[in-house]
Amino acid sequence: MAAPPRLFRTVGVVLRRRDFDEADRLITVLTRDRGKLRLLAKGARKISSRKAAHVDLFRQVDLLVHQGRTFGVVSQAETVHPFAGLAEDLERLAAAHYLADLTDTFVGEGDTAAGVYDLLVEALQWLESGCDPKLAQRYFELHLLDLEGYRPELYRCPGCGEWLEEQVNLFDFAEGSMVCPNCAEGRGQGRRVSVGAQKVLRFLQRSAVTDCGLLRLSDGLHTEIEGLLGDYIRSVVEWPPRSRRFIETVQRLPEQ
Amino acid sequence: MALLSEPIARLVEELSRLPGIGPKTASRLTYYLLRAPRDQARDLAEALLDMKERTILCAQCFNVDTQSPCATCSDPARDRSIICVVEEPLDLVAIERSGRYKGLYHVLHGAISPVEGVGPEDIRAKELLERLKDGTVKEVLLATNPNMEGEATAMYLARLIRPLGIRVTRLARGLPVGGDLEYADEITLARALDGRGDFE
Ligand SMILES: [Zn+2]
Ligand SMILES: [Zn+2]
Repeated sequence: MAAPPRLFRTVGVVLRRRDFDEADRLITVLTRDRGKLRLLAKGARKISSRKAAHVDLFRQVDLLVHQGRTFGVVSQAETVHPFAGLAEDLERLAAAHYLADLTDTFVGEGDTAAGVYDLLVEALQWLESGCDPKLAQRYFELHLLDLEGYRPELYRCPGCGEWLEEQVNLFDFAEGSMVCPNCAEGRGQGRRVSVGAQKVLRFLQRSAVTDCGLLRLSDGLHTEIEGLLGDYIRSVVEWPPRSRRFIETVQRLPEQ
Repeated sequence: MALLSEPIARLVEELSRLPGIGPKTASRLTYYLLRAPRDQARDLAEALLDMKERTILCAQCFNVDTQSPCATCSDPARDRSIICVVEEPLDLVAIERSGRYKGLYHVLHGAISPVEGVGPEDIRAKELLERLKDGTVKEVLLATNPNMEGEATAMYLARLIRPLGIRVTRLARGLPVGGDLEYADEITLARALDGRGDFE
């Protein structure tokens, strides 16, 4: 006897989507209760489709899913929050792509992802509200690393066990930790991190979005932090997120 | 399942690689062709090869045609001061069907979607900027799809085109969000073309 059709309801954010067959789309959705799902949205490319608008990128959407053999199939979709404000600014939109890309890279199918889901929604809301897109990316990176078990140690040197002093210390990528200059010398690796950058990293790591919004970074300081976190992420996931390249392209565009 | 003879299995496999055609439909089509007159099968095979051999991308606008420059680019009645930018050749067909647009086109062959690894260098963006250099074009109408990928593409192009002193416009917001232009009906598209406005 055939098993009864399995229907379930969930809320998620659309991370990725690509065309599938003639008029369908295959979407990747991060949900709070079921982790990352790959779903088929039939007819979603048709402009007349009632589903089309609801499964646009980065939307928070309420889904009724019919579990098929290979994919879950979206049978109803209703927008909870469209995040339409992301499309008002290219830097913002590029940042949203990066957050979605990082999420998809770190979260596997079947992983629990309630924490990452909350973080993603929070960061997208912050981006949409018009914050500095660079700050939102760094905040998201630090907190995602934390949730996924790669929290960078910023306070204590793992070599000697001492609290790090207010000085140029080094970041050891393999260790995922700041190391004091003495211990770093013995290890022969690590990148020098300025005092200012260490302070900003600590602040972003321990603060909520509401406090981070007050932060103003100089270009130099931001570039240092961006490079450090980017290289740390690369060392963890072993490949550069594809969407990084677009952010770099956008940064080189002429100002408005 | 009984084993299919090799020529039949091969056609089923080839057909099921086409969009919208699953293994069931592929088998049905194959058995239909098996019973069809030999001429019909030959005509189909020839039409396929002919389509591949005789169509090329227009070197100017990258639309698909049998000649380059394509029929639109070489039509003297077309307004050369405006270029309408679309993602796919089928979007161009949809806009032509509306009968409202008399300018030239530029087909990007895609939209920017960094999360899918598709950047500006993967679409015909550079070629568009190249076309704008000689000063003939006064307006670029961005008719990319009304979704996040289409918006990213439009915003990116606008940032590069505006400094050239060319007017940048976008289809009116009447189009439902999320879908693809090629599926829009003529009336909706005509309205969107008429109501186009400066792209901020
Ligand atoms: Zn130490
Ligand atoms: Zn042409």
